[in-house]
Amino acid sequence: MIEVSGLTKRFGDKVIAVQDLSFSAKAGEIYGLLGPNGAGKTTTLRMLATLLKPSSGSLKVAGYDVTTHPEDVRRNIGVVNGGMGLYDRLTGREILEYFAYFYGIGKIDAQKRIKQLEGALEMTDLLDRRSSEYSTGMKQKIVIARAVLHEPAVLILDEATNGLDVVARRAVLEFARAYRSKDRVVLFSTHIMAEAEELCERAAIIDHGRLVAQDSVANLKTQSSANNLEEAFFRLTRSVN
Amino acid sequence: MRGKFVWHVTFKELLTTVRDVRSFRSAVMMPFILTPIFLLGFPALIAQTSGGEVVRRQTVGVTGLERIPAGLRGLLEAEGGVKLQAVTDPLIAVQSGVVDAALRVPANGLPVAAGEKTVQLEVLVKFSDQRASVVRDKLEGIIGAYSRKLVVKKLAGLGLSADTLEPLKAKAVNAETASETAGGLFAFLIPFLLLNAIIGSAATVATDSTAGEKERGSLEILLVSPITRLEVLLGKLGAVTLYALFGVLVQISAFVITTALSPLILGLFGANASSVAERLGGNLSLGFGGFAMLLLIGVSVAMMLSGLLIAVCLYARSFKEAQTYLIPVQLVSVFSSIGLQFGDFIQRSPALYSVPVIGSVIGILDLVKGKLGLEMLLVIVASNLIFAVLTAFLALRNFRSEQVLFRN
Repeated sequence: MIEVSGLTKRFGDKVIAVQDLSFSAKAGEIYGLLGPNGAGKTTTLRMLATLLKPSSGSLKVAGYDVTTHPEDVRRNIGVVNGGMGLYDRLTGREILEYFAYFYGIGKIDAQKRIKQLEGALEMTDLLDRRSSEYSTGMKQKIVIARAVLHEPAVLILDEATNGLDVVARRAVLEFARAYRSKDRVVLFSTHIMAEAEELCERAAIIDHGRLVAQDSVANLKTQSSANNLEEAFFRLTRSVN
Repeated sequence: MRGKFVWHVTFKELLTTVRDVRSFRSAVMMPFILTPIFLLGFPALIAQTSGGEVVRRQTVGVTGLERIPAGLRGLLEAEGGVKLQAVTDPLIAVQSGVVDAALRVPANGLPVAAGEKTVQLEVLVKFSDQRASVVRDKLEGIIGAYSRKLVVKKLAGLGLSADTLEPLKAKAVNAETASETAGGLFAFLIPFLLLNAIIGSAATVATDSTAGEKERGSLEILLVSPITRLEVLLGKLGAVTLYALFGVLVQISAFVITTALSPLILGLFGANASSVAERLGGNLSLGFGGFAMLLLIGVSVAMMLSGLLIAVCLYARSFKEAQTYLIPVQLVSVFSSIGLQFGDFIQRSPALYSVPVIGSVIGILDLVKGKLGLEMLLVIVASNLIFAVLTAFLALRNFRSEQVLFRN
């Protein structure tokens, strides 16, 4: 589903945000992209989402190359990032309809899908209010609904639990778990190791733009003789640095 | 390129702009408040103030008051309505503001009859003080009248009539067209207000749809959906241009209503102020063709500025930062209005009309005064459209630049 090989991203001559990064995530799994702030996670995800062009290396999403088939890639991904990115003066329903249009979802189908998501994400009675009136938790539900409107094969969650309370955070993690299926993959990027340990089967740890380790979460802990993923993360990144 | 995607973006941008009730209300109401203030209020206020100064009894300091002939003194006090006051140093008296003006009477006095050597009577006033110009005109007029009286008396003694002095006399006849009369001295305010409306309206949408979207994080999400950057940009350009056009229409409506109501509003300031204000002008007197030409210039300027504003705002990371970047663009309307006050001295040429913004404001000024020909209108519109394409390309380049979009 996601194949990253020798991926490098330079900004100008001095900054190398991502260097020779390789990992792959298969359908049916929740894959963790872990690293501290500034490790290069967001840059990697932006390249995956066709927002940034790789300086070198190859990147395939759902079988499409991001540089040669960017629009096909965008049809097959849904993105939830840390910032809410909602339009304050539109209602939740209008926001969802606005984005549904770009995915070629007709009005009637869009209404059906929104109804479906309304139930799945418990958004009843709130969709027709302007998003400026929403709580942070409700905003995040709209953001998730927007990302999965077109039922993408790849769901990218980039620091998706940032700033959420316990209940909203739990809802995001549960939705990610429920979204995974035999023909879908969830890419979960975070700096919170406890969340990754709870959710991901496999993970790549990156630091300073380089891959430090890539394996199942259980193996990462065993490799570093750690009791939990956070400890494993510290040991693995320290041994490299 | 998919036109339906472009319109989908345009519609959403316009919907969110209109739903910002405060901004929308201000866009609709401000022209109807500012236009009568600028075009009627200021001229009426100036007329009322200057009229009051003419009527006011100014104090005039005089050195050698006892040497002023009775005839001249009578004219100054009775016809000029000034109060004469003896001072020792006229320069200091004027500079300190003790008197409005001063006369320095020579030691050997002033003539009481014509035919002798010309005597110079110094009138001391502050040249930069606009109020002082009223008393200066009064004093120079009365001194001239007194001098003429002496000459006429001398001529009468010689058996000659007063007409001997003036075998030929010039008479100025107003050759203005109706549009020029309506435009008057304050005609420069019309392009200024129109340009201001275009920039103000366009900036509202441009800042929110670029820097605002960046700040909220929604731009990144929009670009991840299956719409091309060209389609997003054209959608936003469409929204900025349409809203600027809306601003143009509101402003033109405000001109029309202000002009229609001007007799009523000016009547409130009194007959004298009203007639002076009418002479100062600032009214829009155009036929259907004139309004069509005005709209054509407005649309082409809006298209040109839309691309420029989007290109500039894309550099900003936040709404506030974008507003700062737009200050120089907004200053263009202020500077051009200052320059337009001297519009009659500017030599018109196709090259001048093709200069972005400047050519358009001069064109609007000429249109208001009924002097814009069809050829020059085409030069202005063609130039604006060429620059509109260039600014759109600049905006597209910025929209495709990682450094601009994801600047941190």
